[in-house]
Amino acid sequence: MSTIEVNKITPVSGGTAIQVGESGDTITVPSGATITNSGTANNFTSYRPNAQALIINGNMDVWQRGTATVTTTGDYVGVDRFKISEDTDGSYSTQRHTMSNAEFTTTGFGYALQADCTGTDASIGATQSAEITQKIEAQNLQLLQYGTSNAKNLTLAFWVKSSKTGTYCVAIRKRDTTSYDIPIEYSISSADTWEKKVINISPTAGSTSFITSSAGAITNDNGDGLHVTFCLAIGSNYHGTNNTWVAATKLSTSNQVNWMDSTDNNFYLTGVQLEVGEYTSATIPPFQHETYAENLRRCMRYFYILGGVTDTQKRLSVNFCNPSNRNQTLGLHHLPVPMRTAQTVTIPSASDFSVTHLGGSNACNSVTINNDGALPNNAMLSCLAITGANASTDCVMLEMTYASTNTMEVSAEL
Amino acid sequence: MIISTVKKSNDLNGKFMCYVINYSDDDRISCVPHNEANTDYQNILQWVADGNTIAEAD
Repeated sequence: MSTIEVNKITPVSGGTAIQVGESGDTITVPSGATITNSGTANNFTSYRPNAQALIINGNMDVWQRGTATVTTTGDYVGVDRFKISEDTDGSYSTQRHTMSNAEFTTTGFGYALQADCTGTDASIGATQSAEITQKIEAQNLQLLQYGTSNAKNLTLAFWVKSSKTGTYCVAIRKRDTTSYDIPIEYSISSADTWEKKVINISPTAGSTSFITSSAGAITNDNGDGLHVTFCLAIGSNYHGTNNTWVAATKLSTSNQVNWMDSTDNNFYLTGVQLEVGEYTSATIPPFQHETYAENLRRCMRYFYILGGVTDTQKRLSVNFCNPSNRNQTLGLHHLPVPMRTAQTVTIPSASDFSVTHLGGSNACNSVTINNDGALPNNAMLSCLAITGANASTDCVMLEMTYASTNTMEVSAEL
Repeated sequence: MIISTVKKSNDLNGKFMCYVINYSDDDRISCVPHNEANTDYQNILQWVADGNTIAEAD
């Protein structure tokens, strides 16, 4: 290998660019060497300002409510953190899709959210829609600097596959202070083929100053900050202009396909990532893979479920008896992580509960949840009417009886 | 889940604790705190705005 020793390389007279090597060549910087950027370095992968992904469960790994097929009722029904909405004359279901080896090879993800049209609506009403949304907590979005002249560009990337090709839309919806929406088109070019989409979201798209003015701010709290919405079918009242911020509910453009028009239609989504900065498909940083445990813990801030098909008894809490009335108990159920806000607790009927003690087990005729939401990391549960032969003896543990449908759900969803 | 009834619930000392929701399409019950950041409480407010009434605690 020959060595050239120079202090400066400049373009030929009249030129401004220098090329090193040819396409396909590898330019090596030796270990220990440093490239110093005193100007502008384009298209290098830059550091992320956020330690954790802005989109939670973007790899569709966590399904606390269950992975089986569920026909949506316009709520959180299967996959964590993604709200499945449907308000058309048709219907669709969602379930977890396990990637084949070929799909895993292509995308790098083990699971996807699968949606299947199960009832058609050939003509979507003006105020009807079907879409999939992740809502992001406001205080996790302060690095966007929305509401200032330094508002950041965003890049949304995701893997998508559908049997129905055509123009689809994603909408970014800024919810705090004044609500602003921006619908952005993308194309699914090949049927039944995984495609990676990379979409830039400029805070000034459409030459507006909505996001860079004070009304564009996202309040630094635990409220609803930003929606990332994947459109399936959108009524005309919610049609806006492509890549243009607007102070109205605009989820898509008029070019959005009507995915609800055939029960042959399916839609797969995974690898959803939202990055601060402007990237292309060549420069988008890799997906931030978390451990399953870390992903689950982040999901549990918004939803937590106790129960399932494998527990023979679901022990809720160690309870204490009311000294003046031993037919009553009171206990705390500690939650895995503090919830986003005062939480809703949902339980089966009282007949599914019992109190277990050293002498056996007694039925609960009345179970209440002492849940004022004041404590974000526990729920207080009481059995106020213990019945049976040992009702007046020690009462120790509150349990739900075995049934796959018997669950305690704790929700603080956005 | 579709709300059927909403009733206030007090703790053992008679202090308001939460709203207990019964559903028309689900046998379970929910205990919803009085907190505007809770989306289930927002749904109760909408249910009331639609002309329904919250029952007082026993």
